[in-house]
Amino acid sequence: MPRGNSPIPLTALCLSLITALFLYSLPLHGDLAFWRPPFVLLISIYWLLVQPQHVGITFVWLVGLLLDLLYGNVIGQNALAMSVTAYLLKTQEYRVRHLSLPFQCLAALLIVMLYQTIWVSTRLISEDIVLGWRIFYPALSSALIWPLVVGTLYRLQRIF
Amino acid sequence: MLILALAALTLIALDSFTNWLRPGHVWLEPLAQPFQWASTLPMRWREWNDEFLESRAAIIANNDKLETEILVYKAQLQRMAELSAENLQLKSLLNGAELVKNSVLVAELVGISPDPFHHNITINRGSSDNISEGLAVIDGEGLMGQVTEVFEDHSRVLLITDSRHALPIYNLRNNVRGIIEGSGNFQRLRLRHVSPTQDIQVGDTLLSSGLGGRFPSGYPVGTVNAINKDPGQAFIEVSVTPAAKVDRSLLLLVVFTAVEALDNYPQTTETTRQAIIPGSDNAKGQ
Repeated sequence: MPRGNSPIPLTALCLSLITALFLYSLPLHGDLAFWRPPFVLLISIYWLLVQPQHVGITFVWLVGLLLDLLYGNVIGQNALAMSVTAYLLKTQEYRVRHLSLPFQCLAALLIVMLYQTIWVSTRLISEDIVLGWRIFYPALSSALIWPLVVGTLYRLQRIF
Repeated sequence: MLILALAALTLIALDSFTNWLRPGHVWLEPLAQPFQWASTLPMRWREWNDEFLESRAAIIANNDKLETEILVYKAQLQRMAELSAENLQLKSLLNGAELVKNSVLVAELVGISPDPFHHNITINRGSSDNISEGLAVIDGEGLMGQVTEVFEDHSRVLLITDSRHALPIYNLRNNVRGIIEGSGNFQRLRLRHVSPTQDIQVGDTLLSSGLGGRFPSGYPVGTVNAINKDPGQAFIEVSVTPAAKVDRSLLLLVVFTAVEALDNYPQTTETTRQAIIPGSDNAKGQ
């Protein structure tokens, strides 16, 4: 994964964030909705690893808050889940950055599993959710699309 | 990190158990509009396809069919006017405070919740159209859900298929009452607490009963599509297909019950109100 020392790529960052929010809100048919990867988390993680001097855990926290506000969830659920995930990832930052692509996908799988666990646990405080293996489906789909996310964002960063 | 996590936890607690963060929700709602709109794009695309890529012959045939349908409905409506007048008269004789007619407001679907665990939709009518919490929402085929959150120009609707939702119903064939609940699946509802001796068959139509006062009575909710009798269980499992196209309808109707409908017309005077709803001032006096 490349590590830039350039000024913050504001255009690319905003563009990727808006795209992620759009992708997140596209409807999926029936049970397919359980497979939707958490695009916003994946993109925040990419920027966290690529632009550590500009993008920190506070940024991820704010993005999570925005996500909660936009989709009418209980405020703070995504902020908590995303920032805790980002923090734990940050402690392993130097290992993760040097992984090859297949291992990066594996890391994405674990990270999203962690995120889903925290997110669903916080939701259980006030809502009743039918638990099952399907809460981890997004982790599998995230691992599959991770190369695509990295490739797209890398190119986007080169353009802007 | 600790501060952020604590802040998030505080926000969760505040938003789950108090009402204090509500202004934040209302204030940021317009920001969510483009994303909400994006969520209906595939449905709009399909509708656009239907409208613009149809052949002339198909449209003419469709038009003919619709005209015949209108004629049939008009014929039925002629009887309907007489029947509802008669019904009203009979109800007034019984001193019932219920009006037969419900008024409706057409609303458009503008957003679908991306959350797979909950079935919420957003419609383009809000407090400026006199929408209030708890109003029922129907489509052309049957009951869809109820309004749970109202904003200025739009509101959120909880669908009957959401696993948190339940409503009282009765069986059209034999008037047996029951409670129907969502299953988290758009194609399926569940009947609760049906005893193995109860008279229920595949194909039975279930209507909303209006008990509990939240939903208007008599709207189709679904048809029974499977009954599973397990001798080891106290109750039988009844699976119901919703009558409404819960995950497909773009145009919806918000149902105002009679009393609320009267409140919406400022010219309605107290005397006409009493004329239409006999016994309403009795209720007030007591």
